[in-house]
Amino acid sequence: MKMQKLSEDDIRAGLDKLSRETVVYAPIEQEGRLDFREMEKGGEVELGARKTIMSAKKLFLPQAEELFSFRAGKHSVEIIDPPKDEEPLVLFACRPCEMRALEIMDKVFNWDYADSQWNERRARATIIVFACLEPLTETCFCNSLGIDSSRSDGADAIIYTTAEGFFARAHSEKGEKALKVFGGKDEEAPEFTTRDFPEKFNTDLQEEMMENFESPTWKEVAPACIGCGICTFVCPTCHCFDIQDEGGRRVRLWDYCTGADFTLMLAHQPRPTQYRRYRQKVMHKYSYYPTRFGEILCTGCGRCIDQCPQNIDFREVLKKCDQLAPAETGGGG
Amino acid sequence: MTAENGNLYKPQIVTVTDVWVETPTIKTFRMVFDDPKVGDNFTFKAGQFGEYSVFGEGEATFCIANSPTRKGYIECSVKEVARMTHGLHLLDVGYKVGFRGPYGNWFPLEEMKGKKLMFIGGGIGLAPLRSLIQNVLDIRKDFDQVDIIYAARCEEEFVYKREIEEWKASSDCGLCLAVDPIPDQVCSDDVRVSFIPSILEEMKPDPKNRIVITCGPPIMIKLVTAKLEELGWPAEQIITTLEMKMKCGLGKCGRCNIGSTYVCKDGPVFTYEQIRSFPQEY
Repeated sequence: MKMQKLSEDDIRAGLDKLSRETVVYAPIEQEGRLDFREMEKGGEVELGARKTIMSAKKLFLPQAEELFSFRAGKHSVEIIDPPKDEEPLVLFACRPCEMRALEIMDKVFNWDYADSQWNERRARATIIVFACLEPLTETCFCNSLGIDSSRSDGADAIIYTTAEGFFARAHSEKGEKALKVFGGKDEEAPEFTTRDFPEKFNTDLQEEMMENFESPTWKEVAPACIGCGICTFVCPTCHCFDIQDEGGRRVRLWDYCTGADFTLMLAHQPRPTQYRRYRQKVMHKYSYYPTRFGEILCTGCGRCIDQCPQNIDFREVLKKCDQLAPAETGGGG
Repeated sequence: MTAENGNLYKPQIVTVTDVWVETPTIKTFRMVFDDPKVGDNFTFKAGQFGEYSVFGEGEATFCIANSPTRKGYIECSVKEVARMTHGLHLLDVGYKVGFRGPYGNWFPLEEMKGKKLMFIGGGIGLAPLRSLIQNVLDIRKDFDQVDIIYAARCEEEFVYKREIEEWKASSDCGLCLAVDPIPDQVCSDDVRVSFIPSILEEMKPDPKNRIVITCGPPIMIKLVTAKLEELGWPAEQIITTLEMKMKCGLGKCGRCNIGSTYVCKDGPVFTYEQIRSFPQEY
């Protein structure tokens, strides 16, 4: 198949041009932290096979987002819409798992009530994915989630890295337009397949976990969890949020279910212990979300493993969840 | 009800037109939509809830405590517990509040028609029941016998005292009031000193052609349903409404779930049969 062959210089020159025309977010390292950052703010775009610390979800569900502002007097209230992010945005060099995460979250943001903030950000973004022919780090396990990281059909364009340079292909009109700035020329591309991914393990836990909700094993799944929430913040699919008033603004904020405050009410705390909160985290991803939306709420990006201060390995968690001992009570022999 | 620009989180503005002090910590607020067009088109069903804003303090979830048959306003009853509810309690007539809703499902009013109804409420749990009670009393002839059992820690803690007086005087419904058997309990002659399960044990309400609708503290709901089951009540004839921490009310923020059930969308009204099938996490 013919694809657009690009050199590193083509890509860098194209990105410079693109970033003058539109907002471009790409992996850029600053102070030792690789993250999706706006090109305009400086720094060199990382074109190599490295994983950003945070996922790209912040571009679609910001960590703190103004829903509206208000001027409230005693007998009058004026509600003011937030400034709209209408300018097109290019998300460059995110990975196939990031793209999957957005497709998975499209479901919760659009069942019944359509979340316009999410949808507007999705619509304005052109997403150019870098394929992963090998895992980026040893914590990647997207293949166990059924993701073929040599492709990303939902992305606007995909770029493959080879020893001879880069090969790019558009999947949409938006992608075609974006790729034009990179120039290059069409050449026959090799076949791209993934290699060296870890052995797959079972991630189809939807019913098994439900049947064993009362299993004593839950206490052993992640006993070291301190509920710090970092796994949620770096996760490309965790989307639970809080709504608060700050100053004259109503803001939507990332929130995390492993924290005790998440469900705490005056008269009631449905999840009073850490293992119950951790069970919610795992089951939301691997049981409840699949039940509601037909998709596992995880892409196997491994960021939660990379960042956990307690060295909890989510892969090991899932393997334990695949071997939940039956509940002690009600067994009845 | 969606705001005109599609922003799901933008509330309508309502004005407080009445405030009732129910107990030392609970007030009821009546509110009217500022935009008459919104007010005229506003419909809801007994059992649904809304997201109420005190601008600068935040948003919180309360049921709509009046009946859809009593049009032109919405009411909510709120216990003062934290930042938002404290802010709300400071408001008086004329103040502006935000409202989003109605959200969630509702009591199966149509299925209740022709049947005997028994309302069992505890404390501020009477608020969601009151919406349905008002609704039922407003179309009273559609139902068989109606009974209300209501209990609180002490008489001072009864909400809707003025309405309780109306129920007492009315031949439309039976009424049984109770306060908790705690030391030095003092109460009126027509108020019983007893927990509700003991009252049910005595009354032995016949489940035939009858539905129980109950709401109160989680422990009360648990004990009431256990007692009714003991008395031979089928779980599908016991209906309750659950309170979970909610933020969006729209099935997105991921806070109110019990298993794969979103209380804000699949509930808050459930039969006890449904609740029994949930993971034990409420």
